[in-house]
Formats: sequence, C-alpha cells, structure tokens
Amino acid sequence: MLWLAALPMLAGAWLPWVLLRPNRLAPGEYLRLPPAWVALAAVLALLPALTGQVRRGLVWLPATLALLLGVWLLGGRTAAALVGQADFARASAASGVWLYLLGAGVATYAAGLALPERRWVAWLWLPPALALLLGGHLADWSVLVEGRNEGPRWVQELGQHLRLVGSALGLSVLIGVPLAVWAAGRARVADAVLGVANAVQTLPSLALLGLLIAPLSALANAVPALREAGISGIGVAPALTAMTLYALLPVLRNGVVALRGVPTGVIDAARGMGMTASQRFWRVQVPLALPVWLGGVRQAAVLLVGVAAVAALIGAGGLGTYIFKGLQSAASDLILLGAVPAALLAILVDGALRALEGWLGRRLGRAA
Amino acid sequence: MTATLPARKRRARLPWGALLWPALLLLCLLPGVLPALINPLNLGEVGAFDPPLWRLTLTHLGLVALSGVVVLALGLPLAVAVTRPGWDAPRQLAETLVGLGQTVPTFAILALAVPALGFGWAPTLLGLIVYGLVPVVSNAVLGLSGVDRGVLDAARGMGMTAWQRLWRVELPLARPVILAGLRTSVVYNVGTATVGAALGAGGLGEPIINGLSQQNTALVLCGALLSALLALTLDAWLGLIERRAGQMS
Amino acid sequence: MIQVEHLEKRYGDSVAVQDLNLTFPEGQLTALLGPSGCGKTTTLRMINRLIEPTGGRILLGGQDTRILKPEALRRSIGYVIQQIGLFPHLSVAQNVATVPDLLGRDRRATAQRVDELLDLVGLDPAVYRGKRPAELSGGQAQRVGVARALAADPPVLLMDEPFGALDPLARDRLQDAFRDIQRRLGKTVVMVTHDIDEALRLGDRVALMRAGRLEQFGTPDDLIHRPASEFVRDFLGEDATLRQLAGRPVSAFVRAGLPSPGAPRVQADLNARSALSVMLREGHDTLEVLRGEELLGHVAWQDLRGEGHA
Repeated sequence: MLWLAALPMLAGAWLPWVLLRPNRLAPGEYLRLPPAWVALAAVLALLPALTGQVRRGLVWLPATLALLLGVWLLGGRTAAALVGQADFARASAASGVWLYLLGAGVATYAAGLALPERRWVAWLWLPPALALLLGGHLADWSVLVEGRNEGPRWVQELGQHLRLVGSALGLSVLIGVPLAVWAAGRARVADAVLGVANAVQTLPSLALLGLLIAPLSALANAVPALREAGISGIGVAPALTAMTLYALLPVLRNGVVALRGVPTGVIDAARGMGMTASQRFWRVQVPLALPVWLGGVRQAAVLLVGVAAVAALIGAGGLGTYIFKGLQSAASDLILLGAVPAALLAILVDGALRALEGWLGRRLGRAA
Repeated sequence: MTATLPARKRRARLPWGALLWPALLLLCLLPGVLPALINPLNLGEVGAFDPPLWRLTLTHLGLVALSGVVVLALGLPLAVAVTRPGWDAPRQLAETLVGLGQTVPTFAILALAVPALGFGWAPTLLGLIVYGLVPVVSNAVLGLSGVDRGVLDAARGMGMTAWQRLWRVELPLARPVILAGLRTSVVYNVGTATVGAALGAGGLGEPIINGLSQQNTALVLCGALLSALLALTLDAWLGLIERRAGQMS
Repeated sequence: MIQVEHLEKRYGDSVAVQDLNLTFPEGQLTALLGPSGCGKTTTLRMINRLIEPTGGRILLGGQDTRILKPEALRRSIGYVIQQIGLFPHLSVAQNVATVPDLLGRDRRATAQRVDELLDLVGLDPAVYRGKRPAELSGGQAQRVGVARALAADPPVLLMDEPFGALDPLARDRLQDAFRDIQRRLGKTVVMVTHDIDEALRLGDRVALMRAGRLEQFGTPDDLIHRPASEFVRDFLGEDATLRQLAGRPVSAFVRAGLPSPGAPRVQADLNARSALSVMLREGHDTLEVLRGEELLGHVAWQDLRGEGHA
C-alpha cells in the first residue's frame, strides 16, 4: 500500500505545482518545481515505502515529512511565483500539489495502521501544518488570498451555514424524538413511518427544495402575517423546512429501529421486577437505544451540512453561496473557498459525533 | 461505514410502485401535459422547453446509468480485492476513503471536480462516480466478508479454486447485499445529478436551477417533479430486481 | 403460600387457562409442567399480574393480589426468565441492585446485600461485581439473574424456564446450585418448565397442566407411581422412574450393613441411574457406596427399582 501511495507522489513531484494567472479569471501558465525540489520531493515520495521494508513502525516519520514538505512547498512556490507580479495576479495550486498531498495522506494513514496502539502518529502533521497556515506561510496561495478578500463576509456565511445546520438539526430532533417514541410502540405505525421516511429520502434534495417553494410562497401570499415574518418561497424558510424534513428521517428511522431493538427479554424482566412504564422507558429503553439513535443524529448532521450547501441556490446563504458564485464566474478559488470548508465541516461533525457515540456505547455497555 | 441492507422480505405484494411511477413519469413527459397541469397554479409561465423535457430526462438517465456502470466496474473488483485474506490494511483504507466519500457533501465533491475538469458533464460524472462508489463498495465488502466461513471451507474442500469460489459461491451469496448497494447508489445519484445542472451538466436539474434564477416557480416545479418521479421509478425497479435476487439465493 | 382459585384467562374465544384451583405450598418448589400451549406460562404471569386474569382470583399470603398496584406486587416477587433479561447497560452489581433501588432502600446496605447474593449464587463478588452482562457466559448470566430476583428478599420466586436456554452442562450445574440455594432460603418457588427431568429433579411438587386445565398435582412420586390419568402416564413416559433416579445421588438410597463380598464400589455423589448401570455392567445386584475412603453402606437393586422411595 505504501508503494501505491508513492505513485501519485512521484507523479505530483513531476507535474506542474503552481498555476500563475495575471488575475483570478484569466488563463495562466503552469509552473513546475525547480529540479532540486523535484529531487527532494521524489526522495520523500519513495522514503515511506523504503522505510516500510525495513521498519514499519517508523514509516510515520518520512510520511509526515512528505506531507509537510507538500504544504510548505505550496506556500513557498506560490510566494515565489508572485514575486514581481501585479496585485491581481493569483498563484493557485496545480495538479502536482493535490496528487502529492493525496499520496502523502495515504502514506500517513498507512503509517497509523501499522501502529494500532498509536494511531495518533497519523495526525502528527496537523500541528505543524496548522502553524504554517496560521503563521502566514501559505498567505500567497490563491484560495487564501480570496479568503482574505472575503474576510468577514466569509465568516458570516460560515456562521449562516452553521446556523442553518444547527436549527434544522435541533428542529428535527425536537420533532423526531417524540415521534419516534410514539411510533416505536406501535408496530403498524412504525412500519408506515419507516416507509414514508425511506420514500422521502429517495427524493433528490434539490427536488425537495424546489417542491417546497410552491406551497410556501402560496402560503406566504395567502397569509400576509407570515410574509411579514419573513416566510416566502425563496430564502431561509423553505431551506429550513426541507432540511428539517430531510434530517427528520434518520432521526426517526434510527429512533424507531433502536427502540424496537431493545431485547424483549430485557423489557419483560423490567416489567416483572416492578418497573413502571416510565421507569422502563428512562432506565432501560433510553440508555439502550441512545447509541444507535445518536448514530441517526450524526447521519442527519452530516447530511445537513451537504444540503445546506445546496440551499444557497434558493437564497438561504451559507458556504454554498461561494460555490455557486464560483461556478457562475468560473473562479475555482471561490469554489474551493466554499467547498473545502464545507467538506471539512462535514468530516469534523462526523468525527465529533462518532466519538460521542463510541464513548456513550462504551459507557452504556454496548461495546463491551 | 454504514451499509444499506437488502429490503426486508415482506409478504408478496403487488409491485404497484414499479408500475405507477414510470407511468406518471411518461405521462408528464407527453408534450403539453406538464404545462397544462402547472400553469393553472399561477406560479409562472411554462411554455415549450428547449431542449425538450424528454431530452433532459434522457441526459439525466444517461448520466446516472453511465456512472452506475463505471461504479460497478470499479467498485466490484475493488471490493473483491480488499476482501481477500492478507489485504487488511488496504481494506481499512478503502473503508476510510469510502466513509469520507459519504461524509463530504455531494455538492462539494462536484464543485471540487470543476477546477480539474472544467464545466459540463465531465465533473458531474466524476462526482457521480465518486459518490456512487460509496454504497456499492461498502455493501460489496459487507456482503463478501459476510459469507459464511463454513461454506467457503466446504467449497475449498470440494476442490474449488479461488476463482471458482469467488464466482460460484461468494458473489452469488453476496449478490442481494451488493444489489441493495447499487440501488442506493443509483437512487442517490439521481439526486446528485440534479445538482450537476449547476455545473452545466444538463439533465432535470436544469429547469430547477433556471427557474430559481428566473424566479419562475413553475419551472422549478417541473424539474423537481420529474426528477422525483425518476428517482422513485428507479428505486422501485431496482427494488424489484433486488427482491428477486434475494429469493433466488 | 399462593392460592389460585377458579383462575381463568380468555383471549376472545380461545381459553388459555380454565377454572384452575391450586395451592402452591409455602417454602416449597412447585414445578408447573406441561406441553407447550398448556397455559403454564400464562398461569405464572398471572401471579405477578404481567397478565391480568379474566376470572377467579389469586391469594398471596391470604391477600388478594388485586389490592396492590401491579408494580408494587411485582417488586415483592422475584422473577427469573429464560431470556435472563439482564440490563446490558448496567454492571452486574447494578443489575442485582435494581429492585432494592426501585424500593428506595439504603445504597450501602444494598451494596453489601449484592455481594452476599453473588456469593450465594457462586460468583466471586470481587471478580464479577463490576462486569458487564456481555462479559458473562450464559450460566453466569443466569446466576446473576437469580441473584437479581432474590435481591429484595421476596418470599416468592417465579421462574419461567429459567435454565432452558443453557447448554446441558451449565444447566445441570445451575440446577444443582439452585436446589442448594432453595434448601437454604426456603422460598416459595413456582417454576414453569417443559423439561420433565427438571420438574422431577427440582420440584417438591409438580403441577401437570394440559390445555389450560390442571391434570394432576402432587409429589414427583405421586405422578410417577400414581398417575391420575392416561395423559399423565404418557407424558412422563415409560422411563419416568429412570428419569427420577437420574436426579438423585445414590447416597439417598444407602442402607447400612455388611456388603456382599466383591461388590463394585461407587462414590456417594454418583447419580442413582448411573449406579443402576454399574450393577448391570458388572453383573452385581449390590454396590458398596463410599464417600471418599469412608464406607457409607450398600445399595441393592431392589432399593433403586423399588416403589416410592423418596
């Protein structure tokens, strides 16, 4: 697998590293790394695999170094490319950077697998990479230039994105949890709920957003009070409605499945020992269902980060705004400014909730 | 890594969905039917479409079908490879990457492909393939590694070669789970392909996006309705195939 | 003492239990035996009102069970089931402490009680107190199940096929352990089983049911040697005597006296059925019974095959 990782890295070292353009939209020229750097990058590309032949436990060192070299060179080469250029000139990362970082990432991941007790070595690159980013070493990279220009507005859109995801998730939990509890006790209702949930999930998210515009704008036209409250066919209201509906499904489905999955013997024992219905619910059913249920909330949250990006189309704001702006003006830096944070956000949310799930699972004895 | 399991076996029921959804879809595609349905709602003007709706539907279907074929061609060998003994590390990598593909927003994957491939159907196809791989690979890995050890041992004991075991035992036994993954993949991709219209891929997302930018809700409704019907149709059909495969094995 | 009077349970047109009259004697173990669907589990579950009867009444210590709230009633009755039903999210100690906690008993006293109970069921408290149910074998889990049922020191214990899900070895061991516990504590136990051996081996009394009615109620000896009906005889089967022997140590049949010379020697804890096989194999009609090196006495063929030797 380490040799597999070496391939894209070698290709990356040789391929163009920086795309230099006179302004953010114009076509530009591709710049390769200077030969000395190509040689160093190539050596670091092969080193993890070679180390792996000798001592698997040490692979993390060259792999981390390779990853950091990739990041460092991105900053260094973009800065070098911009020397003597006009203010509007932009230096972006070209295919070489991406391939090199991909390969190095796989190598560090493999290094983590080789040390099952010390998985964290696969993340050793993160602090220095963050230091490079925050220390301004990457400041000339076009995406960060764009980010600086957008500055406060970008922070605002990120906040809007988080607000959308947070409110939709909160609403769906608020609606979904009692609904799941109610449905779980009734076999037919539970079947129907699961059926509807699956059917709605079949629908394309964009279609769902679109389908909600008509009834909501009709509602807003019919009831002026609602319109004054800011509800209309376009904007936050339909986005929030669609997102809540979408997120409701995993919350509901996992809730019903989790509650129904509590072994009947356990429930019977609890009844036979004299627990009242509410004691059974709080002391037995909830703790046993919680880890699985939280899995549904996590799926919902991850889904929402994605749907919120699409919701920018109907004017709800969020990081999707940059993606659409970028697509409309063919400015890839803008696209990256929206897409990369959205992707990272999803991964972060997923990781955090997964950790919570694992912790709860251990505490509640499922993973014993 | 979550995987979709095959549809629970229910009592034999008329596959009404497999007939109703395609019938409605075809009805809506007849010239003049959709405008006649939507114009009375006073949401905007829907006239003749250029390109016509059936062309958009075919483009959409083509994108989804093409990505489905590529996904199978890539995903199945990958899943078979990583479930061979001694491939634990690559399997963990594959599972991590697949999990990552599931986590990263669809739209972000599509958009990230644009700088590399330019506008048009190409980035959309790439996004569909990446996103479509997720359920196929995870289900195939689940299905293949779920084959009973005893059955495999018996097959070995009868003198089957590794290939024969794969073709005659493992793949047939894993088929229902793999098909369930393909179904999820295809249905999600109908949705993903609508978003692809923002990248200029055409398809049924086009009226939605045009309608949104022109503030023409009727147009949005057309695209939304058709793409929803297309998703439901494919879901019902693939569900039928999946159920049949489940009964055979 | 539990008295069941004219007990009846109907589900629509079908009758699960019909005009059942029965007294479960105090401090004894009564096995509710019968083929599946005979109403034995329904009867058991009516005692702690998991199922409400449609007719008749049940008296617990002379008091109608309906005057208590069902939850309060159940907290005063131990309950053990085949699926064991330990709470997987709680430790062994927390599981055992469930009913005392529900009753609001003092935590410290309960903790001590938990240790005593684990000791009683043969689990070292220091080792098992903090374990999770998932870490236990089936036999260990059901030992915890029994400890949990005894936690609040209820006078009555209801058991629904308690050893039915265990493998034969664990079942035998747990049956032995439970019989000892029962001798020491003298609880009134009602145990549902479809396993004839289990009923004959553990039951002081056996109530054989069929299609919602009581077929015969008596000691195991009564049922074997004085079956009340053809059904009882058929249900227990030809080898009922042998079955009964299998559940008793040969020492229960020992007579003091001089052995016949050259008689085979067996240990006192050998079960009587195996002792019989030894006689057949060795061609002797007498055995010397020893405990360790000490001679207890001898046992003869007639002693084992003889009637009504309780």
